[in-house]
Amino acid sequence: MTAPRTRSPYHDVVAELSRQRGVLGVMVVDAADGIPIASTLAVGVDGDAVAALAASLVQQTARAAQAAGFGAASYFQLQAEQGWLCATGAGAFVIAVVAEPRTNAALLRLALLRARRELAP
Amino acid sequence: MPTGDAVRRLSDELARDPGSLAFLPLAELLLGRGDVATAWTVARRGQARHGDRPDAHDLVARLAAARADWEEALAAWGLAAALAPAGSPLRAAAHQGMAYVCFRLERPAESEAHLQAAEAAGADAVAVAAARARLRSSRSDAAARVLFAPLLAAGDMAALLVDGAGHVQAGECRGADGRDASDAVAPALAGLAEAAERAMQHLSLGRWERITVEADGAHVCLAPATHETIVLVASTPATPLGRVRRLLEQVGERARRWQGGA
Repeated sequence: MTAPRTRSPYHDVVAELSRQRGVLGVMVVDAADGIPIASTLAVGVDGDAVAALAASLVQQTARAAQAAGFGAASYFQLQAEQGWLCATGAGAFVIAVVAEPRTNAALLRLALLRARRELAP
Repeated sequence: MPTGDAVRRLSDELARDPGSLAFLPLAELLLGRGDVATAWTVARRGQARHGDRPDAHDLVARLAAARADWEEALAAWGLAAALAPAGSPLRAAAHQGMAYVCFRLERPAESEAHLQAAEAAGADAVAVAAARARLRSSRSDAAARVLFAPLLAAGDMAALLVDGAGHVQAGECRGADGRDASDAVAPALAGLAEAAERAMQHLSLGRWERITVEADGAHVCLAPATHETIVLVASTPATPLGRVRRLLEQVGERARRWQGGA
């Protein structure tokens, strides 16, 4: 007999992504209202605000791509002076990762797209 | 009478007598509160029953314009102008409407012709002069539209400069079907730069430098141009991402030089 699963899939995704080199924080956010479902952001960071802004940025750029007839957006990547904010839509959720500048962004992208398949197969 | 009550009263009247003219004020009220879809339905039914009324066609034309259905707006205003008495305000308004639609469809000669017809029908001289000035300045708009053209190669679909309010300043975005999608894309970008800056402040990541979006039909990249504008480029997915990012840099440099002198 196996023990019942007690961790949600969101926490599993967050845990897996948090193990990627250079990752500072991970969020799974409700895409509709920007509320965090699970996250590992650093202490002192306003998780609610970041979750809402990240979800809004992802959806806004996805809407722009749709408006242009470019189809559905699968991946979002913001490069800043001191790090990355990368995200992907997973059904009703947005998975977002904050990472250091030295992070291998290509590997992070692969990890995020894998996580997306976990939450929205 | 509050709007909701008036809408209910007019809706009831129209339900009792589908041939009544209540559709005219009802559609106006619905349009006034932003319910373009329902106003459209009401207006089209009224137009079908009262095809001899210029105000019915004028109403449909205004709603079609609100839906950016330019050809429909042109057709409806054409009917309104044909039915309205000579020298009537409705005829003048219909020609002004058609002038605007032809301006949007980049048919300047027809636009000017309708402005002249509007003047002949007694349109407000100040309004016509303002419309004519916009028409003439569209020549400089044409130059702005092709600002980034020399930088584009095969596979590039968009190079656009957009301000914080979501207005196109320069460049063009061609959708996957080849049609001009600039006016559809730009409003969707309103406030993006500000939202990115706020997110970066909360995360202490410094200034944002570039956004890349992978979509089914394009790679899209965005970057700040000046403190008030952003640039967007898009290329087919087959275009190497490094090339798209290089294009983004070039478009940004050209946009800053242009704005510095604009």
